[in-house]
Amino acid sequence: MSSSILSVDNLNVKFRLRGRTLHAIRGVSLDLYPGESLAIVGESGSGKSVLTKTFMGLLDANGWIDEGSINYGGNDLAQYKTEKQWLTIRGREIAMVMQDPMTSLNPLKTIGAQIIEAIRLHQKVTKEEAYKLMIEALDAVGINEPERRAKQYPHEFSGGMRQRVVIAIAIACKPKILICDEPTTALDVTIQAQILELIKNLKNKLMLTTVYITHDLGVVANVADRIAVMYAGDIVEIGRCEEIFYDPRHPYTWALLSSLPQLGRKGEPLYSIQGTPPNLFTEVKGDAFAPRNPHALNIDFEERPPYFDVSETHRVRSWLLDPRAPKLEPPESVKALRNREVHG
Amino acid sequence: MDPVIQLKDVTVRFGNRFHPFTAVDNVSFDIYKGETFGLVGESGSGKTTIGRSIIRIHPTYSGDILYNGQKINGRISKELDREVTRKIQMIFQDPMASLNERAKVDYIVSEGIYGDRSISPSKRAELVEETLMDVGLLPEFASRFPHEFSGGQRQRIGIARALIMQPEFIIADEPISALDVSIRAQVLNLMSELQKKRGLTYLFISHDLSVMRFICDRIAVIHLGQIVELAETEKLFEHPLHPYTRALLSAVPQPDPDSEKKKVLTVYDPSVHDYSVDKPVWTEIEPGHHILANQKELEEYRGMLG
Repeated sequence: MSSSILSVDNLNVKFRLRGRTLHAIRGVSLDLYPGESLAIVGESGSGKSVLTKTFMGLLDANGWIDEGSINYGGNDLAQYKTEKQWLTIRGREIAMVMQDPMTSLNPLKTIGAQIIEAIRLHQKVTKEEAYKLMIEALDAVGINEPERRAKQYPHEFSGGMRQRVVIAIAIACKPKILICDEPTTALDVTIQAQILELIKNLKNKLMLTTVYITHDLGVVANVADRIAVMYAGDIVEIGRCEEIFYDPRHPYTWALLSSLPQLGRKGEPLYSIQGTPPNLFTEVKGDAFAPRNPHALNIDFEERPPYFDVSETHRVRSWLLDPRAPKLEPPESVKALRNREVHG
Repeated sequence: MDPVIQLKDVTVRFGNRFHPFTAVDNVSFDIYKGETFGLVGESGSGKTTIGRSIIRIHPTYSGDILYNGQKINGRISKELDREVTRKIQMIFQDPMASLNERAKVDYIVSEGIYGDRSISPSKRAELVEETLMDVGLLPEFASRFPHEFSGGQRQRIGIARALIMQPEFIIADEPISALDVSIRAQVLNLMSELQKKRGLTYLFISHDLSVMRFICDRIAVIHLGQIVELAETEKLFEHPLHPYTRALLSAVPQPDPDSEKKKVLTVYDPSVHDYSVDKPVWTEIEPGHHILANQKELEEYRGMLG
């Protein structure tokens, strides 16, 4: 494989909350390769957003990187302290599309002004050039009549159109990495499909590396090359898209897949994960998923599992893959997926 | 089977005399006892407006809404109004926004029966306890505030608040869109369990067809205020006839990379219909399968059914 564009090594992020320390990211290592699209999947509170926020220096004031490094273009982003340093990265090299297009635009400024603002913040261009770039960006995200639409305000745009504008702002400065944090959760299914298609096309056209953050495994099958499943601040399974869907190995990935309504049988209860995610204020002992895992082994409560390699691209953090562990069959719905028995 | 709710040519208009906006246009359907009826469409299609008209929040412009054969829209007697607001309940989309942050769970759940003099305070506390257990919460949660709960638990509180009224019919307006995948499954299971136990009838409003397929018995597809197709769930998924239904189905994401990567998105273009001369009518094309189409299209659709 080619060398990585961004490399995270043993990253630990902590937050101070009401006098207590929350260990939000617990030793994540991750390589991002140029031109790929990676999806980070997990429940709310699993740390998927926090992880990507560290790439852009967007952690809240009470959070800090406790340990580890983020290597981007020869620099260690984990050491960045000042806003000035971050401005060389944020928006220019790595850009982000937030979840809710209703709240991420300024209602008092025209769409055009907001895009120009982003362009002139990062590039030394004249007003006229910025205007031209703005029109180009609007055109690239599929907004018709960009000259007219640029003069309008966010409230004159529908949800899907607003998300297109947010994407236009993100790509206006030609970033290398585009992080999409739940880009379609607030949108309709039809619009969702269109926005995902748009991001995919832009990725190919502008040679972007994209990172999707989502809680819904259903939406990433179409867009992701690789998938990382996060649980309790840790990547528990990472592999190519096909490997995660057709040959998942971690019981948490099984659980996530089984709880998709697409895989449920009508009239039978849908699989649901019992219990709640662990409290990250206290140090987690052993495998974080063990208390909710019906297949948990004794060792899961004692010692944190290492990564086991399933293939060159597929790594799983679970004791189940240890040669000494009992062989376990994945649940029926996951097997059905493997045998391509899902109705389409 | 008896219909619990019947809509007959219901039209809902907003705006004023000079700038009318028709949000729901001549909609008719029946919801039978004990079934889960799905209403699917994009935002702005009027699906929520239909739900709200049934529960008498929005007045109708024309048409009739019948509940167990009785007209419940427009002017009705006080007694009937009371019965309707009791027997028809609603579950809302965002459990973070739909619960009163300043009230304890006890009050939130029992607000609907507070004014009822026939229920003593001790009986009320008992009912709250019972209902909380029914939705899988602990009775001691009654003395807590909403912010102490997770999204899934909050949605259970929202369901408990509807259940305590002993409703017959529940309108669930996007009850799981704001929830995580794993919690989504819990709430769906709870809803179908309660349906079996209490013989509830649901109107399930959503834009997500994958969830609809799992939970609904029949589905109506609504586009810009008009229902374009209505059929049993499996029939609709196997033989989608209306181009809008087909576009909607093609947009549903599947957890299967192989078929997903080959997928071609169908985008609905309303101009494929030529309704200038030949007006569309609401027709039953095969038993239980209704569609909005004109004569020429009906011909085509019949051909597709074979």
